[in-house]
Amino acid sequence: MKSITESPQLRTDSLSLGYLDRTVIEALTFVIPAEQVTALVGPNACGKSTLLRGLARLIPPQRGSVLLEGKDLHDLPTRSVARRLCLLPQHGEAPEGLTVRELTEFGRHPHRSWLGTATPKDDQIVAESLAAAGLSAHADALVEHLSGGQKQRVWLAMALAQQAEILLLDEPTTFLDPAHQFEVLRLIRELNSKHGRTIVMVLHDLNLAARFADQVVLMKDGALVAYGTPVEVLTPAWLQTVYGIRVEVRIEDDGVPLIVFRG
Amino acid sequence: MSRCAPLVLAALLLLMVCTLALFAGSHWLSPHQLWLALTSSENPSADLRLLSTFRLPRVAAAVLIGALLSISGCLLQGVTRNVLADPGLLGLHSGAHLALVMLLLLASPVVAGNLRIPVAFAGAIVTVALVFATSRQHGSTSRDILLIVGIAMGAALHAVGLLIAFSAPSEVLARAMVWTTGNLSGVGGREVTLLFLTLAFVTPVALGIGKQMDLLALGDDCASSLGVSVTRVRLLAVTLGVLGASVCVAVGGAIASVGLIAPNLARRLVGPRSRPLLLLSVCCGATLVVLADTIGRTAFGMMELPAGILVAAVGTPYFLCLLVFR
Repeated sequence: MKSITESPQLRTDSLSLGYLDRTVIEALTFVIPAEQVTALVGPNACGKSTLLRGLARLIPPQRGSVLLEGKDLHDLPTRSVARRLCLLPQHGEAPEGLTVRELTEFGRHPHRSWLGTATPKDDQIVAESLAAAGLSAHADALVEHLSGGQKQRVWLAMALAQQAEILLLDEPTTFLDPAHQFEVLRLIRELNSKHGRTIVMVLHDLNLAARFADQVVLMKDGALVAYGTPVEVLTPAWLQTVYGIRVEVRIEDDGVPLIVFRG
Repeated sequence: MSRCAPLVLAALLLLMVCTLALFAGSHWLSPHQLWLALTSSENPSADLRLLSTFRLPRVAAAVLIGALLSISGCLLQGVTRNVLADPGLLGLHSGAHLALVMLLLLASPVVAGNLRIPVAFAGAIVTVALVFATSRQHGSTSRDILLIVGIAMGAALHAVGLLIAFSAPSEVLARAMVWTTGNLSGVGGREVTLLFLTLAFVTPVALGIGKQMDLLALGDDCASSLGVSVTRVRLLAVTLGVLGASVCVAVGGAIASVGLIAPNLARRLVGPRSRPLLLLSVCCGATLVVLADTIGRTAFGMMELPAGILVAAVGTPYFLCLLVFR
């Protein structure tokens, strides 16, 4: 699963993104660190989700480009992009009556012929993905009967079955209680460490970003303000600049910064 | 239960209902008479003529209309991601009605009779095109706005159609009523051929985009990220759906809510995946229309009740039950 190409896996080149005549992100040039977990953090409406959607080819650039191993994402066929790159939107909604296995199988779509018949290899990959997400026992359950954390894990299983080396996750922990947030983020870390996936995720909780991300990108008003490891970026000064709040940062015994809000 | 079982059962049920429909009518045939009519090749009996000129085309038309409307319903429900969407919500019945009223006013009865199907079809298609054009904002079409505009446009055109029909000579009103209330009397080989060709075109394409439609149900972003060309698939599905429903409306009038009831019944039995859903919906829809048409032409003596009314009468309470006791 290691990428052995010269040009960076995914990068933006003076990328401007927006909707209609409104520009949200202006001339951003940035290399997504390969095989790492990167958290996009920043206040509401700072352009995190827009950037993620731009990286996933869901909105066309106003100017500039997104380059996948040196090739413009918008020049590549949709299906071949889908084999490399996967986005999970914030509200994954499965239609009623779909089983866990069926939803996971959808991840195989970009690899199938137009008739879409499943091969034994597809079945094997689906089974492996379900196992990796800890859902083997629930494969025939209906998705709507699962708990919030399990549901999110089904979506991750689908993403895993897609076998894209880059996963873009839009707030994968929203609507989950703290225990489920941990469970889902642990699985995301595993997708990175065991399966070598490059992960970019939008997160709101700074402490979760500190604990689960290798790199943190701090954004404000569509611009990239700071970028680096959690210890480098999640500092009182930067957080004051971006959020306008006073915080205290303690470094825990395991080296993870803990952010305490002071108002 | 295997996912094939409901499909096999539904196909058998459809076959039974069709056979029954061939026997039934103001003149009931016994199985023996039917056998004689079909096997005695010399001098065609009255029974055979009754079968081949009236009942067979009628049953065939009912099957085809039920099937087409169901596919149409499946596709539009998929595209709008709303299981309560129905081809009728895009205003095509009202468009066809208005076009027919105008035709009856402007043309002689014979010409009007000949032009009935193309004109109704054009009325339906133009209305849907208007609905889409109106609901397009900033270069994209919101699904909810589409349905709201469709309902509003449908109501407005229906009102205009009724207004014109009521101010016209009474036979115009009467004929417009007969043509638009979902009536299958008088369909012949031409109409059956038209319906068959439409179904033969729509079905394989609808099944072909089945996988993409499944992914569309997860939302545009997700589908796109899984390699679906969202705009293209959606356009294809809407075009097929509107085409199928418009041909049905042109031939059989408003047999409303088949496109709503059949897919929803099928969805409860086989789940939301497009291909099994389409096939089962087709069986359910066809059975429903054949049943309604047969009851309509047998149960009330000399008076024939249009299938459209019966489908609504049977289907609506059933559908409400589905919603309440889900």
